[in-house]
Amino acid sequence: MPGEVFVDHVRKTFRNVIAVDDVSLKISEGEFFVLLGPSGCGKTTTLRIIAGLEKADSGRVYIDGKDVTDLPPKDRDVAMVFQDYALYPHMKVRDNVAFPLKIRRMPKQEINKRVKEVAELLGIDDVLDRYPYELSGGQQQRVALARALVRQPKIFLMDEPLSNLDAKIRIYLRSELKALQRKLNVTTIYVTHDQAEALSLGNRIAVMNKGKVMQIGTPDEIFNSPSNTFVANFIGSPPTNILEALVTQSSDGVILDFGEFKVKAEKIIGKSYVNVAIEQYSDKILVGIRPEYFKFSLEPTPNSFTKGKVVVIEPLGSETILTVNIGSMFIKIKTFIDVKELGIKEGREIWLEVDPRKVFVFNSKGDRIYY
Amino acid sequence: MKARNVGIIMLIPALAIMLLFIVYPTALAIYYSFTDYNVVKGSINFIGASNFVKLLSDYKLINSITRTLMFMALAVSLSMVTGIVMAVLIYECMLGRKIFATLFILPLAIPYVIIGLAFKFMLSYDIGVINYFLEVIGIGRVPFFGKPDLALLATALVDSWPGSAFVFLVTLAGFESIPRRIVEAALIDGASSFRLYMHVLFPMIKRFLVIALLFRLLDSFKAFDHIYMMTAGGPGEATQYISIYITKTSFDYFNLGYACALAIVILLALSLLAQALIKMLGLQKLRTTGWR
Repeated sequence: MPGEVFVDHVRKTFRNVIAVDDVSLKISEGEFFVLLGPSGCGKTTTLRIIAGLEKADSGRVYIDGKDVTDLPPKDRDVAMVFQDYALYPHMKVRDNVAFPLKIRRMPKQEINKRVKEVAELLGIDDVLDRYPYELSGGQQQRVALARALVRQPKIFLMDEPLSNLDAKIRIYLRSELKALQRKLNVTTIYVTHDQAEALSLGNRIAVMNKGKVMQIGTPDEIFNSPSNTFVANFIGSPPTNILEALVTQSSDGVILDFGEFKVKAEKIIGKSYVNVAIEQYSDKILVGIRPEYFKFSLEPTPNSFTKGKVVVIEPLGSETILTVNIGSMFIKIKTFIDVKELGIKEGREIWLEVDPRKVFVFNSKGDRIYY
Repeated sequence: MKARNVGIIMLIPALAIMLLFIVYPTALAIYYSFTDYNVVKGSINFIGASNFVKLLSDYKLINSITRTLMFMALAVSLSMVTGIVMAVLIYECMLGRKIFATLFILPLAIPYVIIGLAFKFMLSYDIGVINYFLEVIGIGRVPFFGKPDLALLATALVDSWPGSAFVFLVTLAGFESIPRRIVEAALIDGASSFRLYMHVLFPMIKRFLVIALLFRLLDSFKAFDHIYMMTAGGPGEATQYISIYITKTSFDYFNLGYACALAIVILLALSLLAQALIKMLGLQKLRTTGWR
């Protein structure tokens, strides 16, 4: 089974800063695995430990069941693509791509054949005799990819390979990269801080924060079932609204007290949640609602739970972001409805409702409550 | 005041200094080189190109040039090798980097006269500390300044001390200018340390090495202070390198006209050497390639 990676309880500190805190990952053969998180979360360090560029303080790294923790990068059969491409500036594109093969003393004919193949695959066969500085950023990144591909390694490691490109090329190369990975079926570990990149590329995503893995899951799981407030907040744009509520009982049933308004629990969180909330978290809970899951109307409806004043309207073409103010609380709403047509202007009051099935409930520490 | 005029005014001090200390003496030297100016006699007669004709058949000059070239070959290659080795060691070693780097650079801060004086005593046959140790370990005393070839070797060794410090400094600066990512890319691509240096690091610092070599060649060609301090050209004429020969001609034999003719020829030779090196090593090309 070529290309299986197992990271086992890896820890790494730089001076006093904990960069990677007990990270364990199991990446299977042919998988496109994304490490996602804000800058400084330890995702790049984790990747560099897998590459062998950084030594873990403790924990082990296995590739195809073999312990590679103490092996130098060259003996791990991994290829890496860097954010700034790291092409050899004194070599022509052809020699850049051929370098990993030359170093392995492959026969010249074989090298030429492989370089040609990979150059055609990536559409850089017409720039083989140029120097890297003569190429555009997109072309340079293709050369870096070619240099990684040409060796046919077990594993690709990619450290924000698209971050230095402008938006258009980035999105174009992104889909190309995905198609390429599916075609070659090589295990790929991809580091990014861009959630759109992570969601669109990954078979699975590990969301990291402060050196810890917050959640590992498919893009769908990460988006629709975040296991803590960090993931809920980090994924999605604008981020998930996290509202604090006190759970109280009254003759009317269970009431959620948001401070600015009180509401019957059933209107916001699912029935099964209500029971769990009462039994185990009778004190405080955190309610997470994605901006896209709000519904709103100009008049109260049976399901609306509060009203708020629209303070900012941001039209983004196909969608619109509303900022709604309820007392001291601000909520972001994303809608595809034409708010102008509805007659909503800044200053207008609207009534809000949600689909309780789409609401995430967390305990006061921020961990998801499951029922 | 117009910006153009300000620029010219700003240039005046530098221009004045250059005129006074470079252009004027050079012009004077060119003039003297066509005379038989003798400092002691005080006579000065125009004698045309006969100084330059005499120069062609001056066996002392030929000897001096031969010895200079031998000295250069030794001193430059020694300093290039040790300088580069020291730079690689420091680049590889993370611990104590600053301390060792400072120690290696130190000789650059010492005036050549002092270096010459110090080594004159250290290498002395009777009272030298180096000969003392050589005797202690059983090799016996070596007359460094007593035999022609030993003297040449000794001067080359001493010259390569500050020389290698300079090469070290420039080479290390070259290594430090290489982005860490490139080194990492090469390591992941499968390069061993040896191949990393051969295929990536040294080619990338080529122009740094070229500059170091250029400076070393020029420096050793005109080496004077420390050599004069140690041997004053001796024994015999074994270390009478070109600069020492010129000095002796003008101040020991007072033949300033002839010395000036020598100096002019050397100046031309040096400029040609520098030009050739710059061309050969493709410094112009590197300038346009744009990589840092």
